[in-house]
Amino acid sequence: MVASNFQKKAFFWGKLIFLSALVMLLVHNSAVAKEMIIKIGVVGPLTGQFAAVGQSQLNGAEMKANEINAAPGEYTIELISEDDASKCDQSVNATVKLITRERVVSIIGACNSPCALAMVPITQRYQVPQFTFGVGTAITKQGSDWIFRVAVGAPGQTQALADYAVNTLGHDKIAVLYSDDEYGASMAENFKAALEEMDLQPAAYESYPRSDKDFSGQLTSVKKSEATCLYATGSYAASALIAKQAKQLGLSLQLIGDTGNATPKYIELGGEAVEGAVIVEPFTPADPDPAIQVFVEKYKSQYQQDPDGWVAEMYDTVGMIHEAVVKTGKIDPKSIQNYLAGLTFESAYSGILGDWYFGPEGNANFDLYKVQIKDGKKVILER
Amino acid sequence: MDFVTIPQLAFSGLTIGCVYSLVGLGFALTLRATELINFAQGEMVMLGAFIGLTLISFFHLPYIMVFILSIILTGIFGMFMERFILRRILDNKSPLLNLLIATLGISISLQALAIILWGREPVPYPDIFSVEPVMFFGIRLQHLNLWILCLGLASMAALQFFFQKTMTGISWRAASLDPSTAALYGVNRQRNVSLTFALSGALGGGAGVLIAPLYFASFGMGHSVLVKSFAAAAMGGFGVVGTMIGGLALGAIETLAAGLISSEYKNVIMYVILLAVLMVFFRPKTPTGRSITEGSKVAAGRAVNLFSADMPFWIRPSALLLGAAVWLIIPAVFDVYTMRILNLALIFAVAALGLQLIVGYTGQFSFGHAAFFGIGAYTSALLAIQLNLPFLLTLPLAGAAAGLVGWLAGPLLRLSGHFLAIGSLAMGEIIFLLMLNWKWLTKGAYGLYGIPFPSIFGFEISSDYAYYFLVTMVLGLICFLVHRLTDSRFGRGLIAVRENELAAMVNGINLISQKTKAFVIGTACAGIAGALYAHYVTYINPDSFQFHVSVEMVTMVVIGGLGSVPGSLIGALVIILLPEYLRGLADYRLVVYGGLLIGFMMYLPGGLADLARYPLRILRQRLQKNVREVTQ
Amino acid sequence: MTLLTLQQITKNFGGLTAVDHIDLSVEKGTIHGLIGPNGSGKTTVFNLITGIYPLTSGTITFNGMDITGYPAFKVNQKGLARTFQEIQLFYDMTVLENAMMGCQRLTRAGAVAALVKLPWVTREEAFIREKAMAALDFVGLSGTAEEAARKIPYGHQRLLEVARALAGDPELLLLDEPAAGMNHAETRELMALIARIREMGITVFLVEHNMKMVMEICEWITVINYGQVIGHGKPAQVQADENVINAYLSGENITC
Ligand SMILES: Nc1ncnc2c1ncn2[C@@H]1O[C@H](COP(=O)(O)OP(=O)(O)OP(=O)(O)O)[C@@H](O)[C@H]1O
Ligand SMILES: [Mg+2]
Repeated sequence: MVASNFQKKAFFWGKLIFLSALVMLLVHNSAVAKEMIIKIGVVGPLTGQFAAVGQSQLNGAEMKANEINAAPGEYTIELISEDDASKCDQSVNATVKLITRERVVSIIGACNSPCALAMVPITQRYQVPQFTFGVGTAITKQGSDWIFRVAVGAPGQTQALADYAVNTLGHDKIAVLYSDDEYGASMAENFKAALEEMDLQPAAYESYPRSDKDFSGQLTSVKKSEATCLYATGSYAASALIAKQAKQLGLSLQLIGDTGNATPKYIELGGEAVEGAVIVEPFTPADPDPAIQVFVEKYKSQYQQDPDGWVAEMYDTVGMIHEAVVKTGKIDPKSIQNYLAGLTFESAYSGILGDWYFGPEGNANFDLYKVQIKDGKKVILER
Repeated sequence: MDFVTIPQLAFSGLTIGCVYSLVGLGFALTLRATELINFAQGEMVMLGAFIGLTLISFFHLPYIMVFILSIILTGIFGMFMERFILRRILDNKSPLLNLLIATLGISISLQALAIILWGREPVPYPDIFSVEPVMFFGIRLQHLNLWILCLGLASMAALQFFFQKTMTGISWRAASLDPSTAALYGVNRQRNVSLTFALSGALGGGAGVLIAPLYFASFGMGHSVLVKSFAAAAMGGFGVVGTMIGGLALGAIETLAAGLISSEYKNVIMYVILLAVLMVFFRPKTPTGRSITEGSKVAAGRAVNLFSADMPFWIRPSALLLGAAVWLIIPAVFDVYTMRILNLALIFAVAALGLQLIVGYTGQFSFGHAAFFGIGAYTSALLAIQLNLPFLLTLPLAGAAAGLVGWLAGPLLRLSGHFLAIGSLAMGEIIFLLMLNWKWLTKGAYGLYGIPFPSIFGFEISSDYAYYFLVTMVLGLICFLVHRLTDSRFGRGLIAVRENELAAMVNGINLISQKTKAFVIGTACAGIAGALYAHYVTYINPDSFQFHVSVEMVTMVVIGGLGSVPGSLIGALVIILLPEYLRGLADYRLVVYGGLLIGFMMYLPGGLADLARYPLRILRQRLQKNVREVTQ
Repeated sequence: MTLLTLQQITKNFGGLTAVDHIDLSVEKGTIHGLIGPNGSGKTTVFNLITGIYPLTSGTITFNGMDITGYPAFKVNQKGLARTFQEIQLFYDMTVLENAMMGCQRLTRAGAVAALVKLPWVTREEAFIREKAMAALDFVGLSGTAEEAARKIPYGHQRLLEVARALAGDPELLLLDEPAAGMNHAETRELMALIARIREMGITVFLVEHNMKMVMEICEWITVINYGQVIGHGKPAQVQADENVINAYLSGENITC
């Protein structure tokens, strides 16, 4: 009975502590504001399956912001980051919060195309420019003037990839293996269309559920199709696993990949299995250009890894927003949108990825690098 | 098909199947000892993988040592988890669902902690074994896969030996068959439960060390094997040998189906097989009654009736007035962002109300509610986009479509308890997969965009404030209807089914029909909520209707308070608002969120509605006394 | 007139034949006892009659109607109510609500009716309440109508089960060991209650271990052992039956 009395007491105190913690959470507060500050909201996954992509997005933006803030200049950049855990509801909520509460003048994100797409009506309604590296075709087809794609979209990437695989590498039996989410499906379908334009059909066309880790079933179909080249698209971790498992099954295939694999993590995870893989990417740390090398070294010293395309894209995006404010002298969404939409080949913003200007639908376009993985390093084949 | 492909596929299938078996065994053990579905089992896998990784890369231990050490460490962790969190809830005699939510909280917290400790990115294991395969009649056998198979099977054999041949194991089995008799013979239940959690933690950790070299270590890795492992355990009837075979079979079926039939439909095939197995082998022959010592299936509190005849006459009008005032003041004081979150929460509250009817009133588990939410969303969106139908028509049609599918799924309700839980989960996943793969209808993973805002009598409801009024009116109507339903002969029948199926049936209740009706009405509510959701966010894709959303809905209902209409509202508000509210905590957001879930289950087992009942009861007593004084 | 007739009813549980070709009939307006040693199959007979288990073979006729294979809820609708050996209440409902659940067969409001709530539904609800209160009154529980069923004492819970069964105006009431766990005084009261039930014109079919009680109130007694009828007749006849005495003696030997 003594024990039960003690338990009752423990329960009582536990309950009290728990309830007071609840109350304390309800009371806690935040937020202050200043002048001459360019507030930029960053929406992306920092938890959940795509957390690593969200981290790259944030790192790139943060690096440029720190550079601008450290340099002498009128304006400083304040980044406000929100986690959406790759859930589109949360992306949209975060966007509304950033725009209406924090009064950000630009929104960066989201990383997943569906979520970026879900945000488009919101940024359009509140008239705040949105910058995303999501590749889904639909994102820029909503008739919104406020969306800017700061990456090469799915059609551009897959066209470059298909063209290179067929015409340069000389493959005509290419198998496609894609994750059954929006990213994978959109890449795979555009790739298929690109092949069809060259009067080819994929040798095998297989999907896999996003959470899957074992691809031997799909790879068996690939093997049956006698394909000589494999285009795996989806998360870089899945693509690395596919490479490993294909090797284990004794398949020797030329691997090709899109910007989804353009991260050093792909090589780290894939190891020997991804040797010889050809990847199209907007940015490569292998580029000997001194400006790029400075950037790479700086990033490495801050974040202890190679920068990837997402980092570079976000680095330039923040740079662009800053330039728009400096050039127009106004910190407001409308003038940023106006300035950036008005960029042309001549007046382009020159960033680490090259010259930035946008097409009528808000798509940026720049040449992609074709790189090959050799001895665990990327070697540029052509740009 | 040649003679190498099939065995080659079967070999990979068996390897992953072996992992399903190990994790599934963890499920089976905890389920049999404590009736608990342990959602944190997946995180044991993750912990095992990271502990193993740490041991390998820092201490350079041989793999077999790493395997054994990780098993021991995760075993200890499992024991601690039981001792400091779950035991309290078990001791409260809390019903199943509360325990389940607590383990969900543990799972969320552990994942968030893992991110803080080990980062967001998957980490590869160093190559431990030669990558050159062993050739066996043309089949390529990887060293690593062979190791996984050997160690996995050895662990299972050891477990089987433990249960069949050792005294502790035998008494464990006795206790799981008949706890009260075993207690008479001196079997210590507490020790048994500790042992169970240690074992299942160890099994999960072992599985983690085994698969991580194949699939990398990452914070979310447990999640991907969770559902399938549970399915393996269910197919095996939650026995040791059964689960072993179930896991291996599942792995083989899955891989062979992908290789030989269709990779798009391989999971559909798997879930259909699972459902078939459940329906054929695990349908209870006779319903069970309930003895007074048993807890209810759900911890449902009793509503405090403020409007009964013995209360003062002015209480109803003043409550109405107060309600109306709050209703009108809310949009006046809150900003757009808050209104948006609030609207979403209220939309989810509509779905939660439906779930409340199924779980809280009728006592039937459903882990597929989000699928019906999705059916409603797609129905309404497609009708609006393709046929230009007005919202006032698509809204009820969305409810009808979801209800119809709910009716078709009715036979599932012949299952009970855990089998119903896993059955409804499988059904939800099948619906999700069909949304993903019927591209001609749903546009698959691309989703539907450009869903029009509702337009009622020519007035377009596009602002967050206008939507608030739409949603609250629908919600109010549904609350009213659900209240009427539950406060009637029909509603008493539902509660009777929850309380005691045996007694209900001999008192003239047709169990299947009663459960099906509750299910149809509940799923129709989800459908209506889905329509409200689709036209609010204007973009939907299958991701929004996956398993984890179903679990979230169950959490809303439990945290709010089972068997309480206002409880569902409070629960939806808490579950939607809390993560938004905790944004300031950054990385620790989900750690705290998970911790709060655990705290709710430990200290507020009856839900938040229970907390509100106390002051209400006092209010009621006060007012009643006043009436008496006046009459005297 | 016979109210309930069992013809050659049999139930196998795997290898075990719990009920083995039993013939039995219960006359209208009587109190009929079913006795037998532990595990002889009495509860199983009840479960077969009320449709909880399907029959392996045999037929059951109630009120001239073949109810073989009827599901439990349908059997109840025909006017058969029962109590359980192990109390089966709706523990988290109130005493009154428990009794109200007994009225299912007399009423019809469903989900749609609950939503629309026409005047007849309100009237029916009042009727249910009335019936339930009357039944509670009858067994002497009306004082605790608003308590939760789990809160009332054990003896009262047994009575509540009876009240619930009575609320639906059954023609036949099956009582499975109603006196189990009751003290002497409570048993006396129960006997009086059963007599009153019979006076209301309800036929009672009773399983009971308390021999004194059975012999005192039953008009007819059937004795079973190992699922087979081993004796049948008036209390005095049964008491003198050699088979019955042997069965009980050997049964006692086994349990001791
Ligand atoms: N559902 C069941 N499955 C298997 N065997 C059963 C089942 N129900 C009853 N039995 C068996 O059938 C036999 C008869 O059981 P029953 O409960 O009918 O006996 P009883 O006469 O009511 O005994 P008691 O006086 O102890 O209540 C017993 O051997 C019992 O173990
Ligand atoms: Mg019995």
